[in-house]
Amino acid sequence: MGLSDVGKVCLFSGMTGVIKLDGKPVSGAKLVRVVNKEKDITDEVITDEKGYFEFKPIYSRTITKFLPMEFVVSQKIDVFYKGAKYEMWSGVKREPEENTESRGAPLVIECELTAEEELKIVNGTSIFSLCKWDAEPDPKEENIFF
Amino acid sequence: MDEIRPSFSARLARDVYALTEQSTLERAFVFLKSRYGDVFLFDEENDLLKGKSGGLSLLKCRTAFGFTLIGKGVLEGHAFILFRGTAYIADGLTDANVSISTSTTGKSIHDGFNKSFKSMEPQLIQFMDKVASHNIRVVHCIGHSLGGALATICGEWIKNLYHRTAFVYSFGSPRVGLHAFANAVTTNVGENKIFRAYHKTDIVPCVPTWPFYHAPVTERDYFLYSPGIIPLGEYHKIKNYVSSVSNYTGWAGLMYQPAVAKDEESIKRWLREDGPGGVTVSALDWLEGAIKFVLEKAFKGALWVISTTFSTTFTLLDKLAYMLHKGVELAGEASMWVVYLVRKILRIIGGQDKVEKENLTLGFLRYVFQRLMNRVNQYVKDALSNMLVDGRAI
Repeated sequence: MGLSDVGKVCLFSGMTGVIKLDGKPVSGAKLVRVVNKEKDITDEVITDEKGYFEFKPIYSRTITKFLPMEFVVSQKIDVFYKGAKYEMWSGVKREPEENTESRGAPLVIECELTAEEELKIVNGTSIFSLCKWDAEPDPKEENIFF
Repeated sequence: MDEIRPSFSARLARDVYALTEQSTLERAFVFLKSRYGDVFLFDEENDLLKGKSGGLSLLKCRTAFGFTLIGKGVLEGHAFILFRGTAYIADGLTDANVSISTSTTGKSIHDGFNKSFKSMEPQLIQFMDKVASHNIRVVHCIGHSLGGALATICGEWIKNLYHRTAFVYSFGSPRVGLHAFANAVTTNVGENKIFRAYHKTDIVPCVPTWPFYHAPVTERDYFLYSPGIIPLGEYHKIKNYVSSVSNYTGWAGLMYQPAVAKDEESIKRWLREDGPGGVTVSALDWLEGAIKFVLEKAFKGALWVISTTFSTTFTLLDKLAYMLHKGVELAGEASMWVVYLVRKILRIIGGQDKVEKENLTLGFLRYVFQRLMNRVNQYVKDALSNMLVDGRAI
């Protein structure tokens, strides 16, 4: 890591994937991505004829004059298709490196819009999603309260 | 005892960051359930209020967030208030001149923490009504970093206004208020109900610098090993607190056993000895004890000087210089301890320490305290800028 990278953090890792509805690729769906770390950053992409899309990673520079702060970024992707809205991804990223959502591997997802939302916690990052991607979830912590 | 385990409290302090960022309250509770099982109440009241800035569970103000929970099942009778700070609340913590204001319970505390807590107070009052209707025995106030400061204020607030049993758990918390506040927390909440955990190389617990104090003032705290002697951002992170406490089954094993207890005799010895100069965390620790000793013992209970309300630390330092100057004019032991104290401070800030009683004019004493304050704050700032680079902390 060069000195110029100091304080550079990844708010949302690059993501590629395929959107499907009832098992069939969805062409022309609009994916709206919002990340928030103190303020919102929004961008959007449209799926191609194979239902494929690609989001570039979002980085931010964050040298502050304040005390060290925890890295906490909320992430959201909504899919808009034929007048319907699907909440595809809703997460809270807790590590500043890229691809922590997928344990270091490129983040490649497959998303069935009719699927049930599921919670997956990877590297401390909690993600509610309709998607499947290849990442071993964090092991369950044993809870003893008292 | 009703205290929760170190691991459970540290995990809650960690998870409040994710909880307060969840897009809906339902998701927050699904997240909680996956972490801890079905041990928190998600009542219909919340359902009705959702969309209304997250219902009753989410505490929200410009500079901080919180999350309130009512336990069920194994956690029946227990309520939880979790806090986290944001970058905004940290502003000014490392300035030489810190703003001080009066808390709801009438104590002098850091103005930034006070404002954050006060803006969450209406929501907390609502939550305390809920606590009253759920047969709650104990309220656990928990937070990491700036959230730890808010948890400390909250514990004293609950005890003072609601006369309920409150436990305070903080991880890497900065100091919250002047001596009177720290003392009130110690007495009201009770030193056996305050669990202040910190890593050896976490600098955040060192700010704001003296005259801010940690609670409990009895120095009962929970010290966690971290490698090296240089403060780094890494050991301020909550995930490292979670891992440091994970193997302990109770708080007793984490309790700090000082190599040398800071009693009156050892403080007197420290004041008299030459010792190495320069600013270190340890030197500052002793100096705090020494100032307290000189005011308390030599001046027969003048500790109020560093506890009454001042608008800033500068006005407080002025008052302190004035008090010590009066002490110099007294005959006997008191003036001797002031001389020792000033010599010690001069050695810490790296100046000529050959001063005698007749050198200690009011102007000189003011200058010494001002220099000390600036030197200490520079030390903390240097440590913090190291943290920002090495820990890539944000």
